[in-house]
Amino acid sequence: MSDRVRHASLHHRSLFQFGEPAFYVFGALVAWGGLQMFLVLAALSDISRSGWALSWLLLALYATPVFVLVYRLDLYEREPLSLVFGAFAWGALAATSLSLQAVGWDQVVVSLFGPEVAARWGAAITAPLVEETLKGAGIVLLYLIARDEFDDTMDGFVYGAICGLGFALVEDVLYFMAVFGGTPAGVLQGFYLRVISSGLYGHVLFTGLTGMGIGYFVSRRVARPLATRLKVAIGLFALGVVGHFIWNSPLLEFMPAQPTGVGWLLVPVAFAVKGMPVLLLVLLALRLAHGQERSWLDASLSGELPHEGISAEELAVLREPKARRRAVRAMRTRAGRPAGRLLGRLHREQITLAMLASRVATPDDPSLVAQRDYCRSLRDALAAIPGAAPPAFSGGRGSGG
Amino acid sequence: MRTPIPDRPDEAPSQRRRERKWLPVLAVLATIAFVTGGAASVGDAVSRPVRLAETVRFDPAPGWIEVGRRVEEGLHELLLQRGSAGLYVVVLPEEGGTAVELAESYASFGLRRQYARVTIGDAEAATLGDGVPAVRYGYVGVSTDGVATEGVVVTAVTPDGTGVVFDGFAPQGELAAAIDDLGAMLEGVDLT
Repeated sequence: MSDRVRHASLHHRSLFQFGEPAFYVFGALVAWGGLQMFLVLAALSDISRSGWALSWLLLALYATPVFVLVYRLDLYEREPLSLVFGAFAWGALAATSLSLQAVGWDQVVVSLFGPEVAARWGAAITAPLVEETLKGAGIVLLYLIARDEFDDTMDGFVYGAICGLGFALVEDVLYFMAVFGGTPAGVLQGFYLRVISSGLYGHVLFTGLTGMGIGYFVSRRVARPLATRLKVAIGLFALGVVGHFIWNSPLLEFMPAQPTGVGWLLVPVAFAVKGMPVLLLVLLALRLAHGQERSWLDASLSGELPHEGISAEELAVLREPKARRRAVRAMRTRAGRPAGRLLGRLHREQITLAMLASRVATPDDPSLVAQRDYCRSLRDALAAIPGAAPPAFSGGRGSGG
Repeated sequence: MRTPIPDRPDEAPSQRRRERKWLPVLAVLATIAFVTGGAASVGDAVSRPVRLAETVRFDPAPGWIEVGRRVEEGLHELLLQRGSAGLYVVVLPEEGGTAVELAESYASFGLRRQYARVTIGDAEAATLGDGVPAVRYGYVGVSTDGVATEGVVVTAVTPDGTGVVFDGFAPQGELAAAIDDLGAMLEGVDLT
């Protein structure tokens, strides 16, 4: 098997890369997992059709805003939806089904530590390692399918968190039907415990950390030595596993054994004690990643200011997502929807300019020059639209014709 | 007049990076294979057989873990679980009688007391792993809060009169997923 020369394309790649062996492996495992889960979930639907339908409805209400929130966390470059949905499918179908196959590790724990320890700690010892590894494997396959889409740590977080969301969704349905009885009342009880009280924590965070580790490892190949990247990647994966371990363990367990009356109100508090540390850690990591993204953008585009791809005023807008959104809204109000879309396109191409600038060896690299020209042509097209004289554009730069 | 949106530039020809295609994919597959398939091998390698009251001995199927055992009023009880499925084993020393009588006794004093409503299936002859004749029947029990459980009971009496009951159960709709494991464990039972 020989290495293959690959163009480092800056075009957005979709999930469907037919020249990548990883795509076929990914697709086969998702298809297999989908079949397994279909059989399991179909059997569970026999318990209660109404409970089953209610489960999916409630989880859709939870998963949709979480999906949108995570997807929009990437400040500068939203990930291709096909890859994001691919991550979701891996978590929901492949990782869950593969995890169900990996049940022998419980027996290992019993054999090594005895039944009493296994009964109390088994779920905390086996599930985190098994599940985080299987979910992480999917993120790695996504990277192997579309390497260009893993530009930084944030990209890894997005794919990891969405993968975790898919896993949590299917796991919750299994719990609602199999553990909480599957009746509508049982489903509501399960939804209160597993989503309302604890939905902020869990798989989304754990696998988000794993994804961050993968994103860091693959996106810092030039800037950081292998040893450093390995330490960070393994460290973030370990944090996800430890967070999962604490979540499943009897540690910090303040949950009422049989909640009744006011006890139900203590349930979210009990979960918060376990889950808040990981949530705060992830928020800190995201803040650092956002800062890193902003620093990268500044560093990449500072050398472009003398050229026609971007001006200082445009960079000031570009580096702040809120300012970008304001500028697009203002353009839409001033000059119509096509102008608003074109400004958004210009912003995206200026991000692409930053990526190119960070990759090429010289400032007169043909690809970089071509991208500058493209940004200038977009600006010219925008300037030609009546009413589109935005304050973000400095006068006279790049005006053609 | 609408200004046409310029076309995208061609892919940057200067950006080339050699990347391995197959080796990392194989590494990922090997990891997945170890985490899933390796569990059974390692589990089998380190698993210990389950013993109860010096009478019953069998190897738990992969993923089945012992979650409790007790001795009370002369009865030796053991519970194994895998997910939501369970296997309850009880040994009744000096029980005497036949496997059929033990099956009826368990239905009356075990299942009918445990569930608010229980439907017992027809009993049929069966054989445990070491050739000991046994009786088998299925049941569906509904608890007071409406949760339905389905199960299979196998009873046997050893030559010295010790009664053994195996009750494999799961929430309704899920027993099929566990039945192969339950069958494998019972086929490997060694009664002394």
